Amino acid sequence: MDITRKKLENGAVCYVLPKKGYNEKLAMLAFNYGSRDIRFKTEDKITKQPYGIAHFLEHKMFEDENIDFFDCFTKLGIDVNAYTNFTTTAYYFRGCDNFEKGLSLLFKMVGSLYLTDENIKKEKGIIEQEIKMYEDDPYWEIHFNTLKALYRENPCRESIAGSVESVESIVSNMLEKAYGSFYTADNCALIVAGDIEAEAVYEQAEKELKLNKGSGEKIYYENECCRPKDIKVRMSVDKPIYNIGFRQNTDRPYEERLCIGNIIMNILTAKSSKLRERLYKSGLADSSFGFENVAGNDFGASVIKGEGSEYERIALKLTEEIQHFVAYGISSEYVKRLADMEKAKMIFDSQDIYALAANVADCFAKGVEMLDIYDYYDKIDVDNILRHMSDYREDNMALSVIGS
Amino acid sequence: MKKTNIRRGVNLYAKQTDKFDVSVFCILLRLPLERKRATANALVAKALLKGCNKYITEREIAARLEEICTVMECQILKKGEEQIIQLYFKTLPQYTESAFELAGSILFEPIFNGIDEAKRDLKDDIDGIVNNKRRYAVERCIENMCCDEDYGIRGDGYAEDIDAIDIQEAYDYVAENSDIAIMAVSNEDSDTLVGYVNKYLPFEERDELRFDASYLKDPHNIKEIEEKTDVSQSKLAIGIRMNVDPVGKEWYKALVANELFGGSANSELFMEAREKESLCYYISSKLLRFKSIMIIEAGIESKNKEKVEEIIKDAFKKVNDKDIETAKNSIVNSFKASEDKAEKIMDYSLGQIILNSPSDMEESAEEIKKVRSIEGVFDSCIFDTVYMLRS
Repeated sequence: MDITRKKLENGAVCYVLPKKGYNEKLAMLAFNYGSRDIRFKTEDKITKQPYGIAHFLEHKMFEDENIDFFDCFTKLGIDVNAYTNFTTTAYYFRGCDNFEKGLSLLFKMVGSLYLTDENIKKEKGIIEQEIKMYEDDPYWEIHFNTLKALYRENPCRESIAGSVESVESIVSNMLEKAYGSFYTADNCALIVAGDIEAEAVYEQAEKELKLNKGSGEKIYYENECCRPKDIKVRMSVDKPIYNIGFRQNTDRPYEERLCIGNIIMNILTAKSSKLRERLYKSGLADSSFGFENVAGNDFGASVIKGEGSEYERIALKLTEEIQHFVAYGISSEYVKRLADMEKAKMIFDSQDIYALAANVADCFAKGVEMLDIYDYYDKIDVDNILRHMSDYREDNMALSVIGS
Repeated sequence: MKKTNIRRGVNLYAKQTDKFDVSVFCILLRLPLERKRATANALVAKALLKGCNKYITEREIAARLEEICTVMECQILKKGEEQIIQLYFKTLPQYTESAFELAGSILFEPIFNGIDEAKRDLKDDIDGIVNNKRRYAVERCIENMCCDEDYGIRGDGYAEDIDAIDIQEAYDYVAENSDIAIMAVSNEDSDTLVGYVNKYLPFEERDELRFDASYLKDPHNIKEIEEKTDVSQSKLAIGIRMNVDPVGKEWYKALVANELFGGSANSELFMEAREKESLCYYISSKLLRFKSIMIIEAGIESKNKEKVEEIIKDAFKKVNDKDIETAKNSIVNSFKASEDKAEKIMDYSLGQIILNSPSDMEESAEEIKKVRSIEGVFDSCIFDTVYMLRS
């Protein structure tokens, strides 16, 4: 993996990810601002905004008074899109030709915000349908319910698009305030991938990327210790879907929670896991048994997922297995094998320019470098894994279940 | 992709490149999609990774895969009226031969100790389709639309057939009767790969599969189907017979027309239904080439169904050549971009193999560039099935 990084004069960071021989090029502008940032400080005053505002703002960036940006990109033969997650709002385009023109257009698009009562109202209708689409997706719903079950205070407990009600309450000056506070050079990473000359990109960005300085001050939350509360809801599914979430100890560094968390989850749930084999053979777990590691700066959950009605017994077996490892240890060869596999997966993922850029954007939001994450897998020691395992306790655990 | 015929019915398609840091392979066992064998074939796909002579359990296979930094999956592809068992694997270049060796053990020396679990997994997959409501609506639309054709058969088979299957019989049938395509996108040359195939994948000669190109359909009454379930948004899926020859030049015209009609965020459908009328978040159309079918899908409020149908019907009339250059450019670009992804290169080649059509992505892009107008391409299309999953 080859990554070069340069800080531009205005404060934005530029990453170049060279992919020799690729036809397609991609550019992404990622702002360190996501659905979690509904409270922030400007000039010592705290602003509180409705859930879903970062995502709403993302939808509105594609319009200008007399420009339809979608249309302009399409005419250049370029696909443009955007996404919002807990910590990032990212705008990106990909195409085989017209990269420089596309980059100018991308800079222009995020450089100003155009709102009218009419275009806000129209967007509410579209976002309402987007929220309803997610409401019919049990895997989406269960994911957010898991975080809701584990957290009382942290805004990660609300879904990214917000609710129909919170979106309804959004008005133009809120969007302007959010835009002014966070769409700034100090909050921004430009990420480009493809068969591209780094120097040419730096030069163009220095000239054309016009963003204000400064930033709203983010509010981070303390490590939460309250007792989690299980969440069970009804939807039409063929059998119960469950998440067993362990809340991570956010006093531990992010890269440890990510990498060590992945190793621990593999030990418990990968197809090479002895526990998984026992659970599966006995009929408690099914083939969907797996994991997801949701790590943020001030929140995190190691989530074991599956389908079937035996989730309570599985949760018990998981905590027993963890206690067993804490007592008897783990072989370092096993850990090395899993760590090498995780590194290989990072290489597999980085073949796709979009996945690679999104990963770099995520690292930017977390204040780490992707190559440091890759290298960290070589530094993991067994004792540290066991320390992390001691966080995987019943009083840190919640069930999120969807059944019909 | 360079084709090497190894034996009758056994072919290697290899692209040698150093563009990627990984090597990607798949072994495709191609079979006709038939009601009586669909479930048995799907079960073979589930059973293969449950154990082989050398690594006798699923766990031991998984541990071996970790040792050689390889991911491997075995799944069913439904492509037109073919049911294909795909053993896909991706590895770091230094482990290519080890990965072929493991694939060989899995395909040629399976042991079926884990068959009960494989049957359970298949049943879970079949039952689990209701959990993805969007996909479910599209599948149900196609199933109803093509109820008299093999294409209406489910690729994963049917739960009621599972118990009675004798896995050894099912495996033997697949091993003897499937047409074999081995695909590689890696830094290895064809000679080296032929060597691996001969050493680890000793497939015997067999008959080749032939594509059935019948696609013309006569008009009949529109099938209107509504099913109820617990959803907060209704999922609309509409199936249209294009009546355009999938291997003729006209097909490229259809691709351009689809792009303008509902294939992009600038299309007639998207602009009208979403951007102008705010009726939905997603609405799009796509073409299923092997059957010359168009599927339109959208998530809407049930009360807006007629309005959305009107917009769709109008869009067929309104769509024109105004933005044709943009649409052509967009398709040409997506062909070029596909060459950056091993899986897409393979998928496109598989399509060409099934259709028995020699034009590769570059040639297809040239054909797209030649399209001058989309006029008339929708004249012979027929509204076949309107399906809605509603609350």
